Amino acid sequence: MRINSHSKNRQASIAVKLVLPSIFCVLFCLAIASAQSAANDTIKKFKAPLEYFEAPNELQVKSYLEGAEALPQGDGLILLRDAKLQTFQTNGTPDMTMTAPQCFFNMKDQSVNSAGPFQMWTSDNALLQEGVGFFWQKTNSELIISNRVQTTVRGRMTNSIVP
Amino acid sequence: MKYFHLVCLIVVAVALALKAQTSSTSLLVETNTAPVVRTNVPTEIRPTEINSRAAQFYMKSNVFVYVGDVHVDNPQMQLWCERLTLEAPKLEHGEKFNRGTAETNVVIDFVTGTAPNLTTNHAVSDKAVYTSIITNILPLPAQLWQTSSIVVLTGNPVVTNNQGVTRMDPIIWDRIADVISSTNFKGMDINPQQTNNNSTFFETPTAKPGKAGAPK
Repeated sequence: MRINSHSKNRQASIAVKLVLPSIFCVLFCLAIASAQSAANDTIKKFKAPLEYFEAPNELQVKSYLEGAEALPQGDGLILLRDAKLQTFQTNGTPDMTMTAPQCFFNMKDQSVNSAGPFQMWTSDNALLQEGVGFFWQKTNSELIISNRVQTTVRGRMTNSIVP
Repeated sequence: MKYFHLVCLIVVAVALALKAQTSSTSLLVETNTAPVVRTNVPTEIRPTEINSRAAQFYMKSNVFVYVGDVHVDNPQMQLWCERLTLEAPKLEHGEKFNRGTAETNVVIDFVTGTAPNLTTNHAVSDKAVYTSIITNILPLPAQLWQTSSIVVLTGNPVVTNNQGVTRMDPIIWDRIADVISSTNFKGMDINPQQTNNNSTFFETPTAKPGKAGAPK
């Protein structure tokens, strides 16, 4: 009886010694796999039309978002690098362009935000906006700049104050 | 020999024609580049810069709101305030409506007059509203454009310049007519240099040497 119980204990310890490292190995492999899959989720040259005009210009894009790289963050959030947001007029000519080295695109409410620097300018270069930290919402075309706002008005508008 | 003379004649004719063309072109260029003098254009043409801590832009309605330590650097004026709202709605048929509203601790430094008689003005108030409207007062397709450009300062406005200190509430400045008016005149302190000089109210008599010193 003693011999049997001793052999059982020995078998159990061997099992523990084999199983635990194997579990760690499996977990390690899973971690690597998940990391690799996350790296593979990176989308190069991300492009997404955000909004179209209403009829009769329903085929014309109103706002368009691009990014050199896009990394899905989960919950409908996408991290964009070298992002570029453009708005267009009904005839297809660019209206406004905004660039940021990094920003988040929320697919749920179609908003773009960043805590970093950004630049925005009109197609005729009459207006240049710069700042740090912004929130842009597609639904009402509202742009909120949180820090260090600087607007430069060029051309006719500068002297339009002259009666 | 005849051919030689003919060739020489053609060469001279072509040379003269080219010279005439060149001189007429240069004359044309000189005529076109003649400067057009406008007295009310700012002498310095550079971009206007607006700086603030934060901002909110409503793209659909073209309304821009700047908040916190707002500073406007314009060739014609410097403006400081806590909140600046710019409204420039997109209108049809060439009509324009622009309004700028500066609120809280408004300080404006602006230049009036024409060079070389420029006057620097320093205005302080709680609120300043600049409205510029270009509108067609006739039914289309007829056109008769009317422009109005008015600055209204309210909330204990005080304007200081080399003439003195003026207190009115409100101060209404029609920039087209260049007339300042108010329904509530509070007072004016005229600088001593201006008080002792009757040229403030009366035209300074100009000496006419030809007649004044001439014997009768």
